[in-house]
Amino acid sequence: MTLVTGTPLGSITAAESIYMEGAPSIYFQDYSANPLKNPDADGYYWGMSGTTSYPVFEVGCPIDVSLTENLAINEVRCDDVGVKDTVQQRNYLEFTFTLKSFFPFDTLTHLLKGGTMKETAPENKFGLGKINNNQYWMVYAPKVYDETAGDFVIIHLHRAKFVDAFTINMPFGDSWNISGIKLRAFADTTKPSAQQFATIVRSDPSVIT
Amino acid sequence: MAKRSSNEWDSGIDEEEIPQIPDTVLLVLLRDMNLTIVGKVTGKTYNFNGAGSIQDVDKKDAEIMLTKMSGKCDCPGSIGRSPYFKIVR
Repeated sequence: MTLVTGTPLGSITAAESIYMEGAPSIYFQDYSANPLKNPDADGYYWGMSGTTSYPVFEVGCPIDVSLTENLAINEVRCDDVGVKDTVQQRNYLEFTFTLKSFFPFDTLTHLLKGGTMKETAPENKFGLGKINNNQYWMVYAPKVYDETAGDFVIIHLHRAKFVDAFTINMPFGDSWNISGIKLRAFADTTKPSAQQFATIVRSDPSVIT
Repeated sequence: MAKRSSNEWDSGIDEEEIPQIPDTVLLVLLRDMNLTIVGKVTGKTYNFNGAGSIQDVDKKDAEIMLTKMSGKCDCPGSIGRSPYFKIVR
């Protein structure tokens, strides 16, 4: 429907009435593994496939998931006219979430930046000590927005690390949760410059034909 | 030259050449952990150090170890239960 004020003339990309709701699933895998599409036919790097040496970890019950970015922003100011431009550089992307699932510990230890888990029945053990700053992860966050048609969006971060301090909340009458989990994705210089931080994919055969 | 029985000629294999069937199987750990596990049948202890580590495991123990699974998340989209081991050969 056109506006009484008049819609813009010429070529216009119209918006779609498709909305997404809720958290995506979140998986992570050692950065040493290759993405499933490495690259795909169009040159994009994305997807995840667990191997015997590099298994994929599933983040259980994530809530309050958000994806943000950090930019270096500086204004180009000329004293005769004021700000003429703004220069931006992307520093990193950041997934922030809270999760409710503590188990298994072989996943939790990575979320908490701990050591390798040891299992000797009936016990699981891991330590929290010096943080390994050389551990990077690929992150794969798919969200199916139409279960019937199988339409989905995928956010794939190439080279991320768990950063920042976690908080384990132990409320009375409510489930424990871990907040403050941040996955910070840095530039992956092995990828093409236009997708160094992430690749975002949408699959929707009814719209994208 | 020693004589052979007709059966030996038919099979074409001497007794000592019959391949021995190994009583062990190679299992690889699929989980990212250091695992010490005691075989339920033989009582042998097996140590795996990290995902991808491989050990010779007695077939009688391997049968049970291959059924060992992680817990299950009921979250939507969860991959469900995942096995600890798979057979290499």
